Amino acid sequence: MAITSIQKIDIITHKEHRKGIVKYLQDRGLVQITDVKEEKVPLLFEEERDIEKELGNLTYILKFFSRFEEKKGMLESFVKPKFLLSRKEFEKIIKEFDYQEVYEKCQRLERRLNRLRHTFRKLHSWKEEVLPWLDLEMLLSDVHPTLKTEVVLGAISFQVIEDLLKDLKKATEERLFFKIISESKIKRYILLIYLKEDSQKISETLKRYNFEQVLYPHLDITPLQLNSFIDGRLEKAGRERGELIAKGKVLLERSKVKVVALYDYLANLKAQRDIQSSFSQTYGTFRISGWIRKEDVRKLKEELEKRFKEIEVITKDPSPKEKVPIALENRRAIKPFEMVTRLYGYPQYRAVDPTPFLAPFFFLFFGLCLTDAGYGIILSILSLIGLWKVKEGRRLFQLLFLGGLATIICGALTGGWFGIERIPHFLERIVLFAPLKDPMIFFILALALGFGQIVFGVIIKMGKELSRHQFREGLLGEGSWIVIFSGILFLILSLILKNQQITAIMGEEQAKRIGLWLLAFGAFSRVVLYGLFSKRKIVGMGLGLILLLDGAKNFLGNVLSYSRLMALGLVTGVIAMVINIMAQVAFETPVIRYAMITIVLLVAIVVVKKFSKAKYIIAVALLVIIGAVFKKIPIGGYVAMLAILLVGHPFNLAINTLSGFIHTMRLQFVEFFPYFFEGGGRPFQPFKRKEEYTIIK
Amino acid sequence: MELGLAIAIAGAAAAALFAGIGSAIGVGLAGQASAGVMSEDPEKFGNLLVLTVLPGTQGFYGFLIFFLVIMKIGFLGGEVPAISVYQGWQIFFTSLPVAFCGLLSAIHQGRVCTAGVAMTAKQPADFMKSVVMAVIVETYAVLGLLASFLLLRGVKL
Repeated sequence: MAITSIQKIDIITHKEHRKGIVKYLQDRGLVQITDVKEEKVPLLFEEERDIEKELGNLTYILKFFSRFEEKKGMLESFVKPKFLLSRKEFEKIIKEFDYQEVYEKCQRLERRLNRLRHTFRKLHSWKEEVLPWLDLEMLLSDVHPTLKTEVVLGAISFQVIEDLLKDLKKATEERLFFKIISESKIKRYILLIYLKEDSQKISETLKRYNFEQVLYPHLDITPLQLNSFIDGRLEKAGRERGELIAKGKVLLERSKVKVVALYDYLANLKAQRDIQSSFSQTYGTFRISGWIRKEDVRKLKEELEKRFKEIEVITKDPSPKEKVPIALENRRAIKPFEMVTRLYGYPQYRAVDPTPFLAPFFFLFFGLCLTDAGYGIILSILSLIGLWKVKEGRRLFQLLFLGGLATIICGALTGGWFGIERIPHFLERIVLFAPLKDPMIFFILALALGFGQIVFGVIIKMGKELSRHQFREGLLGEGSWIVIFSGILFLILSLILKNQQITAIMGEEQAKRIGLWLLAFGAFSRVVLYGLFSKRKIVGMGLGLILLLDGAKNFLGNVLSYSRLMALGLVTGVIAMVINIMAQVAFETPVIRYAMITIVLLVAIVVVKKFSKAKYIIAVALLVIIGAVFKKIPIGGYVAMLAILLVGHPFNLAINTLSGFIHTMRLQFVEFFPYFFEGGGRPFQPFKRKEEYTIIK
Repeated sequence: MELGLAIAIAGAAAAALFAGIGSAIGVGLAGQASAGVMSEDPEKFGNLLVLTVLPGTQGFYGFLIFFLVIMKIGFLGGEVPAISVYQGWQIFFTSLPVAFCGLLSAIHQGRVCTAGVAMTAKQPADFMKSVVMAVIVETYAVLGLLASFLLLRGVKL
């Protein structure tokens, strides 16, 4: 039985054990606690600490830390890495670590960083203002009116500067000093000195031309000096920021583990408290109800009775009407395939677990969808690395590893090795057929496998019905189908005999006759016998006929659906082959070789990144030269070829693994499951420690 | 003879062109949605990237057929064989499955991916399910590629 037996459990004990027992249950993680649906007395907690507030503070620290953390790799952005701790280390942290100090440090750091950011913004805006005036060789304090003159700095659009000048000269009768200090794309920065008596006329003219006057404070320094002063301040601020970030990193490294450990501890403490609202209680006692695996009952009972004196543990089998949570239990080799079942949804408690039935098909189909031994090897190695590196989500990697093995087998038998067309002789000897040369064989193989899986599905359904004593459905319903299927087998056999012109065991005619008789008998029993054994015979026969036709239609459609195995398998090989051809063409064609090398080096530069603009241009120029040189040298060809192979094959592997996985899954869900699967179960989720950041060894 | 070659080239171009357009539209749709989600939650980059690149495969399929056709008509070295008008049309029609299956399936896959992005934003745990939905659309592009490939193998020059 692949669905574990589950029992109902009630634990009744004295109130004073409440905390202890909840903690014990969480540590063991054996019982799924259900909410007792009855009126409850509100719980009173003697609060030792404000868990919510502390969790909030810890979350703040973690969020603050994330500003200093190293950039994550691709793998880590999918799976969050966790800290491995021994129980001793964990408990030491919980007892000794005072996060308050870290919290305050973080707050102080954040405040200082924010202040620095503000400073930076201010300095940058100052710098922007002073930059146009660097060539103004006068003290800023001199840019102010003297006794008789006005000294003005300002910006004006380059389009109107000529006109402005003309107008100014006209207005002042050439009594004016005028100098362009610097130019930007659209603006000219100018210095004007004129007599005070002209200021009325001049300011009118300036206004007309949208002159933007710049005002500086009385400082006894030149703009150049001011600029270097700002630079100095910027550098100082930059240093300070560097120091703060370094401090943050040190803090992060020193206390991250402790913070996350404490976080996990408190989160679990909170879970312990929250679950207690599910208990029912009287003045002096309380009751925990829930579900437990039957095999764990004895162990739990013994341990509970040893630890807590006044305790009563009652277990009983669930009644047929109850919705029992589902725990799947399979052999180790099959366990990874539970993931497929879980993705579809859990079966009902008294139904069959499809995992062991779908496992061999999934294995084989996945292999057929890739059919390339080279890819299989890479997939297996990658999933082994995944298993080694990632501590969670291991099921997926286990499944992919098995899939990789299947791919190696299927690939070796069909001669698929990275899409290479001419493979070494010793590999060719084990090839059963080459998919690209005989796609028909692949097609028939795919349909045959489909036929096999569907027959298997019907047999499972029959077994299920017989075990429930539904003999009419089992024998006359599914049994008739099996007769029909064997009839089809005989007809196929007769076709084979006809094509091969041989008479082994039986003649072609004989096989055909047996096949037809079986077909006729199957249809007869499905309709007539099935009807006769129903309560209302005519209605039963009508129903049988409809079911026969409907089943035949479904059967045909389902079997044809397995042709996707061939399509996916061929496509992998085709794409791999084309990638190889492209690589070869790149190797042989100078122009493509040249283009490819340039692209590769360009990508390399983009990846390296740390280039300023000028260096970038030099690098590209160098590239063109290197490319031109390499055009003549065979090494260039190898680079180009490798580039295509190293991009193309991983891409092909990734996209085909994805679609292979999904289509294999779909064949289980859509074609195989309807024959026997009864879904709608809820998973068994025992109350246990959650390990969000840390894993205790 | 020249006309035959021109028609064959039109076929090669159609394969790369239409499938490429489809992928560009599809990736564009999904990419916009992903960028929107990432503006709120940059952590999801890994997952969203998968959804964004999914409609990109069609363009690649189209390019594969394009490549095989120009190889067949000898544009990649070797002599250009004489191609009759009939052979030209044959090659032209072989590239249609991948061209149009690619064009339409990429756009529709882009839409499914966009919906998947929205789903991943709200239910990150169900990310794989949205990928499953999107890959089901992919099937028909794969079938188009296979059809074009098998047809092209059959064309004798």
